Amino acid sequence: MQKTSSINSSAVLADAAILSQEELKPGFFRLVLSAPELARRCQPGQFVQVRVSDGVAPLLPRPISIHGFDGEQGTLSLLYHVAGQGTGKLSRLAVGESLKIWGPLGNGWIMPENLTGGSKNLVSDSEVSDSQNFVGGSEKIPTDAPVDADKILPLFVAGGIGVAPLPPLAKAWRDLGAEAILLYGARSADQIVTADEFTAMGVDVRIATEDGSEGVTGRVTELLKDLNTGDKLPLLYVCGPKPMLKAVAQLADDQGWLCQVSLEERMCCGLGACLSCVCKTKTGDEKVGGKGWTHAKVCTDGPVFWSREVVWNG
Amino acid sequence: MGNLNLQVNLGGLAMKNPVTTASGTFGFGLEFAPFIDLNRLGAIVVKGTTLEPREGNPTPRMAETPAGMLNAIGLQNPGVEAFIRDYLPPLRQIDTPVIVNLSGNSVEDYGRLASILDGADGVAALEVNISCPNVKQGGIQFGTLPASAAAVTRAVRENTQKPVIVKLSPNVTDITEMARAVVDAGADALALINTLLGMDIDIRTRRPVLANIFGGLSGPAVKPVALRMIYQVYKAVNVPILGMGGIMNGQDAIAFMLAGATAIAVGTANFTNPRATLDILDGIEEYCDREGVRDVNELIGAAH
Ligand SMILES: Cc1cc2nc3c(=O)[nH]c(=O)nc-3n(C[C@H](O)[C@H](O)[C@H](O)COP(=O)(O)OP(=O)(O)OC[C@H]3O[C@@H](n4cnc5c(N)ncnc54)[C@H](O)[C@@H]3O)c2cc1C
Ligand SMILES: Cc1cc2nc3c(=O)[nH]c(=O)nc-3n(C[C@H](O)[C@H](O)[C@H](O)COP(=O)(O)O)c2cc1C
Ligand code: FES
Repeated sequence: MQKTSSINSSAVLADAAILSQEELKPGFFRLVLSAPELARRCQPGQFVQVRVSDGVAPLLPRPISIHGFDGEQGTLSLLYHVAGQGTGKLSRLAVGESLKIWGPLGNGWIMPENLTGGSKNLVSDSEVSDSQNFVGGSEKIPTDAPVDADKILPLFVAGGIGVAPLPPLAKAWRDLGAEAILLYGARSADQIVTADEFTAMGVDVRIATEDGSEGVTGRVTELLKDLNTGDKLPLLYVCGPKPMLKAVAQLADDQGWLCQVSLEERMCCGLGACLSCVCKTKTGDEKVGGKGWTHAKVCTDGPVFWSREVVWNG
Repeated sequence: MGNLNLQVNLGGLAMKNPVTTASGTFGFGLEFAPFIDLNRLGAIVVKGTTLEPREGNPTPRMAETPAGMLNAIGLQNPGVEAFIRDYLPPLRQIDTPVIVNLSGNSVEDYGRLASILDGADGVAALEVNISCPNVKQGGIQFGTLPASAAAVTRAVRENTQKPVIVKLSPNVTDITEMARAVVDAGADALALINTLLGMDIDIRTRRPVLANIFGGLSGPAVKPVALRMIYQVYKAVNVPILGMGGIMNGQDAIAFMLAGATAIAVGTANFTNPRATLDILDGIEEYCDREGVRDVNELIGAAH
């Protein structure tokens, strides 16, 4: 059965004025927008649809993660990398111009308050694997027992521009006084952005670059391998290119760590209506004659999924 | 503006205004509820429904093209039983008729779907999508052969009391031949156009962009083709037309009505602006106000 409830009931459409646009490193931009109603409704890990032009080039909106939000100031920030026509055009917009955005969309990261015992959101492992409806970002925890936020080691894992949706999450854990780690991988030092802002939040930042121009040489998985987790259970929050998500998810799975991934797919509506953005998720129904997977919508069932929900080889 | 008549009748389906949604672009309706008052729509056409649930095609399923987009969703849907059980009840709370778009692999599938939906409370009309492959005849589309299109229409007609709207595929040599065939077989209205078969190639990977290779083109790029076909079909048959294909604003909608459409459906535009349907309705009203039109029915076919 597909969920009828995965509707972004709090989403709004806004004409957002550009308050600032800053090029952090060549091709990497941070945009701050005024969108009071929208900013008030955001949860870490959600995204917005951004209409870059009024005309037909480009025609469709671009999904961009919410990099920061401030309900009191009524502002929203986006961090993006110029990938093509849409983000290119976005980067040429100036302060004072405005653009249409709608959101917040999707299910964000599981938040510390949803981990503690007694939360209505907790379900056990056995329930999860028997469920015919194993989709949905932050609603279920694939462990047997309720988890205490104090016993968790929050581990943010970013690949390239995948760092974008992590700061609001880091803030939430900082506010709890948690010790958190950011493992940040990129091709080279000129693609590492906002790392110092995590450091300023008290996050232990560790960097890997493929060309060795900063931090450890190699991929982000290098950083994971010799991680000392102490007596805590790591909870990984991962965002980046698919091969990286897959590698990290596998590592986490092997270790028995909790792991959430934020997936990307081509989107049209972002609202769960067009079905262009699907990914394969497990249903656990192989045993009863099912095929064991279904097509979940990245936009409304995700973009955040438990790594164990995702069918990685499909 | 107060005494403008916006009511139209689409083959027996009374609508408070001519604005509907194109199947597959509006989900099951409620997805757009945060942005618009669904009660203001003339009708809601929901996602294509089949007898059995379908998972659809692998990704990528969509690609943007100049002034348009390609999609190859592959009719992912929960199946007609789940639609009736899970999606129809909330739709019944809305004061807007719901049109169900149906698809099948065989003529019998269409007949069974029609009889199941005929008994469903809250379904106002059926829109028959004939742009899907006829498995029995080796994958040719029902919508490209007049005889199969007529057979499908007859199967639906015989199994329902509700208005039957047959949605034509533009991927044919002569659209009027298809229109005549389905009208003779009992269609109360026609919907056109469905998407135009197309493709895109990524020159970097040297591979087709869509996993399915081919996809359906929609959006502003197809508008001239849609208008032409509606204009031709309006002259060829005597049933109302639900026009669609690249309608982005009120002016586009007016052009479709002038070409012969009684009502219009908003598709790809929903993705570019979640308020598109109501902005288009407002645009129609503004035009009528400005042009001194007292009844939108005056516009239908006025370009001929
Ligand atoms: C939920 C979500 C959140 C995102 N958040 C961010 C963000 O915070 N910052 C950011 O820079 N980018 C983000 N992206 C990716 C961003 O949407 C794409 O980079 C953007 O749509 C590209 O548009 P374009 O017109 O510039 O490039 P295009 O010309 O459309 O494409 C450029 C290249 O990117 C590929 N591409 C386009 N869209 C996607 C996609 N959705 N997934 C994978 N590949 C794609 C194309 O195939 C092409 O190779 C996010 C995507 C999703 C789905
Ligand atoms: C993502 C997507 C999914 C679609 N799914 C269906 C469908 O299930 N059944 C159908 O008859 N038409 C389907 N269509 C075609 C539309 O209903 C419409 O005929 C077409 O998109 C032209 O209108 P537009 O240019 O306004 O989008 C789909 C179109 C799109 C873009
Ligand atoms: S983008 Fe339309 S369903 Fe996800």
